Amino acid sequence: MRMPEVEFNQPFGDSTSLGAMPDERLLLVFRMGNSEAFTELFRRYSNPVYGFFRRRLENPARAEELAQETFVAILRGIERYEPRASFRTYLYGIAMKILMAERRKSARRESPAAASIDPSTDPCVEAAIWVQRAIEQLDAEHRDILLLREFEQLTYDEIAALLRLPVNTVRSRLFRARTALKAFLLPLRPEMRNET
Amino acid sequence: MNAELHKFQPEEVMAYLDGEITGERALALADHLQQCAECSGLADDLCALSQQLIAWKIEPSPLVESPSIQGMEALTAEEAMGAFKSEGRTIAALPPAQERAPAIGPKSSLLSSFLDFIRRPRVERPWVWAFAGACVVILILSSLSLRMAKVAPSQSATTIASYQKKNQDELARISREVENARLRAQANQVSVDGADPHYSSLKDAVRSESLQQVGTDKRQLEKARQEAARMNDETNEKITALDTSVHSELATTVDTTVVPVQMIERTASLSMTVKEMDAARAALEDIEKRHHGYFAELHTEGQSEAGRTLTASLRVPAGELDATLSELRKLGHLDEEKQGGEEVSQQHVDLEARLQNARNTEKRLTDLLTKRVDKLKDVLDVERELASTREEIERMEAQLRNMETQVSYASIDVKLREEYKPVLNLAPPATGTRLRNALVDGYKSAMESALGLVLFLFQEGPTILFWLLLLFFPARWTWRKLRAVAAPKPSPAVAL
Repeated sequence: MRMPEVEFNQPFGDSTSLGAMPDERLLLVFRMGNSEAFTELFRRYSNPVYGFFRRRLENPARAEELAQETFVAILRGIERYEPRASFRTYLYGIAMKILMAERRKSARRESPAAASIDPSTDPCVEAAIWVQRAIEQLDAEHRDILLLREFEQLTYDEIAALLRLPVNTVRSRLFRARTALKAFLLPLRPEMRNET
Repeated sequence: MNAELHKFQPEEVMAYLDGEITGERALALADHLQQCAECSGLADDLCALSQQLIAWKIEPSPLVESPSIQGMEALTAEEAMGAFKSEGRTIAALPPAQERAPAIGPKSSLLSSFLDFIRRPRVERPWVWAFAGACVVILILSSLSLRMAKVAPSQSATTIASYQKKNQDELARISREVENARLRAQANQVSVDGADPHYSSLKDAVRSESLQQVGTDKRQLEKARQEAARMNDETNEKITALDTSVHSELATTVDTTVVPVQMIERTASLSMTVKEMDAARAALEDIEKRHHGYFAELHTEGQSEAGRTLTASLRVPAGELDATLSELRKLGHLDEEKQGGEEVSQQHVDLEARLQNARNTEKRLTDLLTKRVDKLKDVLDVERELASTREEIERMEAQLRNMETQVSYASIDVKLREEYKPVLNLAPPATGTRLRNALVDGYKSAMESALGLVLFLFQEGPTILFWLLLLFFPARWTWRKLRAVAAPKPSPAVAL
């Protein structure tokens, strides 16, 4: 696995230099007392983390809460963080745990629900619904890997570290997921195919 | 896909498109994609699939709807750091709550909304209070178990320190929870007070509800404070009592504990070559006397003209070892020297402890014999056990004395080898002496040969005589038979 290179001898810098810093260094800088570093991290990842939960949960408000809980967990675990893996792996690892806990609680309360999109006549929305339903038809193990790759843009190594799977397994499952998804998306209407 | 026609697996094509393959392999795959229509089609399909997936867009996070990231209030950032900073990580470091906009509003910032989430009343989350209650229960149980546990004297100080630290941590955690609840209550109040005018119609309702919530929080806060204070007092009392008892225990223990002295058995061995053995031996004995030692063993070997050797085991007081060695080295040429030391402190302490236990056992058995034993069988059993214990005590005392002797006296093995000096005797013996010696030798030789013959006859004679007697008659009979056959018979004519 490629390890993030973190240089500790760089100065904290101002907000402009913070924007160019890698994630791992930003977290270390925040731990050393610079709150702007966490703001930068929050700015970078609030949307992706929210999207992570939003694509996997039906309730947008709950997705927002869980996204916030993810950052709270990072704040509370800031003392224990060690830059052994990439920050994205660390972040999505926490998000994945929170998601699993949420799914367990949801399973006790009601049937599991996935993200929902309001039906409308907008062709983009229809395409999104089509994609969402095609993804829902995938197996859970294939779906998770596909979502992590396509939407969270994680590398194979990061997905392997996150799901504790061999990299080759991740690659083969991702290929199978894409092949299956392609088959599910084939009945796409021609006009939608043209639009996409 | 046929592997013979395609150098790359479909998964590799996918990995290449995902940027997972680099270097020469990536260049080769790029060339292959330009040449192979099938692989190129697969790559196009995968790209098209990813493009289709883009259609599933998610609205931006409500947290970052506000663009006011720039110029984030320093106060807000410091609040975050005060809340979660590594040093003194406590919510109590937060400044008094101030008016602010709702979390998601036109004037909100990232961290303000984030902190609002953190400070959101969590009364509906019973796990917070369950956690605080569990901490209190753990604190009580740990303090009680520590008081009841018998703490080893050597570990008492460390245990007390860790126990105090643990309790302080627990108390700090409870304090943080209490302060957290207080600040949540204040934040709740402030969020109501600072609401946007658009929400003024809901203000009164929210205020009343929030005030009720604040009242509930305050009651719970007061209760938690009282409980924490009570726990603090109890813990301090328990720590003080435990400290006192352990200190008294330590004081008594120090009086009775024998501080072990380092005991080392020292040994040395010297192998030397000396010019004159007699002088070296005299010097060796002189060294032994001057250093108040003794020879545990001394052995000489060899003739005076053929290089003698002397092997000795010298015991000297341990304090005299170095001086003795330095003097021994001057006896001749040092061929080899070894020194060693074995620490027997632990063995000595163990042996003393076992000896003390055995003496205690002996004392108890003696008391038992004099006071409580009535039956003869019991008396005999106790006597037998007492004899066994005494034997064990004597054996251990002997071991102890031997060990102390070994430590107090160092052992030096000395091996002296005399240089070989053959002596040339130039003066020949006198002729008369030689004649006399020859005569004596001849006489001795004649006598020895005669004596040897007599001894031979005495030793082998009976056996020879036995076999002669045994074989004489058969031999004579056979001889006569043979002689009769060989003799000529008388002629019959002559007989007529």
